[in-house]
Order: sequence, then C-alpha cells, then structure tokens
Amino acid sequence: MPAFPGQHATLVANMSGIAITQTLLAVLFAVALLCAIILSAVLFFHWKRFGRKARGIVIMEGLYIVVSAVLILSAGAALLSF
Amino acid sequence: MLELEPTEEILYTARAHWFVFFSRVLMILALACVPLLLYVLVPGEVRTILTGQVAIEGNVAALFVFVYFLWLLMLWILLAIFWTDYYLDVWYITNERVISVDQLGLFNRHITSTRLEMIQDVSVEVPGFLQTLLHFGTIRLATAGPEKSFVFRGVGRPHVLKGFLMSEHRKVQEKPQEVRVVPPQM
Repeated sequence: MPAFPGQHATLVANMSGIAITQTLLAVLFAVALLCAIILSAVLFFHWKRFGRKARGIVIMEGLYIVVSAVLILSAGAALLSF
Repeated sequence: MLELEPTEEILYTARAHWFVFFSRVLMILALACVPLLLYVLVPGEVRTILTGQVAIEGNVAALFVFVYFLWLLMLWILLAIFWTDYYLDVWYITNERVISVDQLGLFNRHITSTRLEMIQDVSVEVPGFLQTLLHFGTIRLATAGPEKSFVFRGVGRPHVLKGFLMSEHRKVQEKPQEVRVVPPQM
C-alpha cells in the first residue's frame, strides 16, 4: 500500500484503468498554458481598443501576466518532479 | 472606443460598485481553498482508497502540487474574465446623452444610448442590508426612445446618479431650442 503524501507511489491496484503519467500531465499543462495565453491576448486586445482610458484593463493585464507566469512556472516545476 | 458628437463631453462615468466584484473575488478565494480543505479533512484511509483507483506512476505529492497550481491558474483566468466584464460595464452621462455599455463575456458588447431629453422617469432600488450599508443598488431609466428602459444593477451611489441625471435632463429641457421657419414655396 502506498504511503501518502510525499512518497513515491509505485504501481497500485488500478481498478479504473486510468494511469496518471507525466505525459498526461504535460498535456493538461499545455492546455492550461494555451488558455492563459489566449486570455492574455484578449486582455491585450481590449487594452489596445480602449487605449489609456481603460486603466483598469492595463493594470489587470500586467498583474495577470505576472501571476499567471508564477503559477505556470510552479506547475511546470511540479510536473518536472513528478 | 466611444464616438461622441463634436459638442459632446463626458460629465459622469458610472460603474458597478466595488462590492459586486469583491463578492466574486470571495467566491474565487473559497474555491481556491477547496483542494486544501479536502486534503486536510479527507481521512487518510479514504485517500488511500481513492489513490488506489488510478495508477499514479510518479510522486503523489508532486501530482497534488501540480493539480493545485493548475486549479489556481484556472481560477485566476476566471477572475480576469470577471474583472474584464465588471470594468467594461459602464454608463457614460454626457451633456447630450446617456450611453450604456454592457460587456457580455469577453467578445460581446452591447452599446445603447438615449438623449437626455428622452428620459421620462428615473427610479432607484436599494434592497437589502449590504446594499443600504454600502450605498449601491439598481437604477432604471424609462425613455421615450426605441430602447424603452435602461437598467444598471449594482451601481454605486444610485441616488447621486439619479439626481445628476435629473439635473442634466432639466438643463437640456430648459435650453432654448433653435427654430427655423421655412417659408412656403409658391
């Protein structure tokens, strides 16, 4: 029986037929990264459209990129250590 | 962004009260805590059974951290969408019109306007304890134009906005109207 958490879980009884592999997680990571990039592009589009009058959008765009980058890098680091 | 007439200038910009966005932030924060609460509250035996349902070919702790950060990323994206929707819902009161900009999602905007002289009635609704305490509510504008009513929910200081609209409406009504007399053609 695998211990939880923090220890390597060797192959356990697989009743559902689902295997969580690094490849599967990498696919999830890629999808999340794509969503984040698309939204960044949308926020940038709104910023260019509204110009300096939409200060709130400008601030959100900057904050969004910073926080998203931190979350993506953290998830990437966890993926690499999986 | 907005096409104003040559003599038109924006006098007042009304957005939803900050609490409208803040309540969504609270919801996002609560959702962000759900995985942590599940980790703490779910008994070890149940966790062992659940992890036994799938083959985890790697470090379980790293898997949890990965999934949690992806969850936070999705919530952050949702928050950015909420902010865009909140920030781009605006009423502009100019010296000639009321322009309502309603952002529906990320790519759908509904812009309607009515001239100040077409306003027939302005009503304000402030229901509830929080709305009364924080001074926000719903303002409804009845007009004689094609768009019969304008509604702005969650607007801050609706009574002030109502007073401002009525005073601008009066100013426009009292402005001397230019009359041109065209002689009949023989």
